[in-house]
Amino acid sequence: MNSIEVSDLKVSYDGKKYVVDGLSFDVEEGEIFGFLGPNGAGKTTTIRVLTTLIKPTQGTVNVLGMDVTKRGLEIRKRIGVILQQPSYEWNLSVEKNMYIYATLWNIPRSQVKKRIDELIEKFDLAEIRKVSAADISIGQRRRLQLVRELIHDSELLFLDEPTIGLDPIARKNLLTYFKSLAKDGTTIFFTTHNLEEADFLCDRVGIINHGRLYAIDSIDNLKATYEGDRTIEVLVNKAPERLAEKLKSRLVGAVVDGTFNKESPIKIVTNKVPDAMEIINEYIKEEGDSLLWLNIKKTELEDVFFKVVGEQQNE
Amino acid sequence: MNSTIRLTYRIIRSALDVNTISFLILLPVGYLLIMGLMMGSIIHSFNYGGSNLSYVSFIAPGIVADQILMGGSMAGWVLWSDKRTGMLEQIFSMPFSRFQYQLSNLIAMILVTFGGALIMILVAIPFISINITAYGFLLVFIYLVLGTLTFGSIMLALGATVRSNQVFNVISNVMFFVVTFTSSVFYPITSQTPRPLAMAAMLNPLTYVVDGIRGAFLNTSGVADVYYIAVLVTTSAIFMAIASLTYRRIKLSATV
Repeated sequence: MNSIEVSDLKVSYDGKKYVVDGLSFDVEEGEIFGFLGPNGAGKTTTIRVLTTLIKPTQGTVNVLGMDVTKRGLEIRKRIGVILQQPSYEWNLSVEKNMYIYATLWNIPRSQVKKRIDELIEKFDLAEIRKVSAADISIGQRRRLQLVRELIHDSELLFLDEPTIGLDPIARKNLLTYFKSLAKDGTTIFFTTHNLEEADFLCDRVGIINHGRLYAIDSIDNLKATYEGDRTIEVLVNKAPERLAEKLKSRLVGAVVDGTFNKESPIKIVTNKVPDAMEIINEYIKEEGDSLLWLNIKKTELEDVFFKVVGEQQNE
Repeated sequence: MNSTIRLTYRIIRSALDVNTISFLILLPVGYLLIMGLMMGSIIHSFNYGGSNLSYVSFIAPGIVADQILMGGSMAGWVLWSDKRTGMLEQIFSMPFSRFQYQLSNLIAMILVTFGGALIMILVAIPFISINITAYGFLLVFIYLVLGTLTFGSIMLALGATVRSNQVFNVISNVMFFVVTFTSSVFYPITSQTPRPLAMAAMLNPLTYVVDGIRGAFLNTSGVADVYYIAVLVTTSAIFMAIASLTYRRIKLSATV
């Protein structure tokens, strides 16, 4: 059974331009689905439709078998939402923030203290338990926001870039917890920029850009699709922008990207590694430049994402 | 527990910390006792509606009525603050409707007004002469509800529209000052009142709340109350409609 069914979803804020433009996808019950895309791709707008915060301009969207335009309140009773935007009761302590949230979710009084104690211990909030949310760090506020949502049970959890601002330990702790929730049957819809996280967490991913879905599959299948590709990272001293130009014009089908400065390498995703090496050598001879860094690696999810988004932008 | 009650509890709990409660109590108590007693030392007593009144007895009903501004500004501040801290969007993603949020905010501000009014009455009682009946209490209740709905709606519209902290504070403080001092809280509106100020007082809903509550305190309520209540029903209906309109247009954060 599907927890989410989206068909030809379009959303426009101004009536002129679609920020989400014809999305169609399903998410199965108990699945962890990753929604990947660059800034402004339409990830958050999609989450807002799915969580009934905004209405679709066109298309049909069912969450837990219910139409988002007709049964918003019923849907919201059964989902959990961690929004990208930070939210907290600034003048209350961490513990009281959680109590208020438990009250809003109508958690029975007999269970509230136990749940809060468990979560505070599990997510290492004991030290700041009595500290006001206004006085804790941004990362700690984010942790509070995440942990607070776990006070209530939900069949479907929406996570909009949940790990922004978290330190590596808190991030790993949290991702592992989400994995355990999925094992117990919770469906998770997860948006992120961090492809390592998606690789670790997700069963399937969709890659979105400019409001359109460009790839959707399991991570293994996506990697297999681009099996022949390699990612070359090259850093030169003098004129990286000229090397990038050469690669772009002569390496057909490759995606060439980077900031083209002397600090960060040019990134090339291609299945023609020898041709790319020849162009790099040629550049070095012509310009009298030196090679500072060269790395050739197998395709990872990051490279798939880079290639899909890059190809679409080249078009 | 009912969803609206839970939301109301949350609004009151998140809005009223110790500092805010202290401010909400100390400011009007200061007006009542410091200004009332100090001015009372130079204005010993004067005739108002056929009774001889001390100045503190005169302003006490005004200070009680002023609590509608306290409750109302809290409602506007909560909405504005919830927008700013992301709580509004988070609450809308929970099993609450937008209407429930607005209703809870209105209930919360009425409760805060009543709390403030009760404290002011208790603080004032030792210093004032009061002659209130059960019917008078009913009138005070009606005036406080209608006044809170009027000013609370204005503040909700402000909270829904304004984005910057400074603008919200400046507008609400100026409004608080102008509304209080162009009403009959501190002085009676008589034929001696400069005409522009008398006009301003007549257009100011707080004047009707103050005069109505003053009449109830002195047991001089009468036909005028029908007029006062009619004015306040109209203003609260108009401003609630404006507040609903601006509230419906609130744009949640524009992240794509």
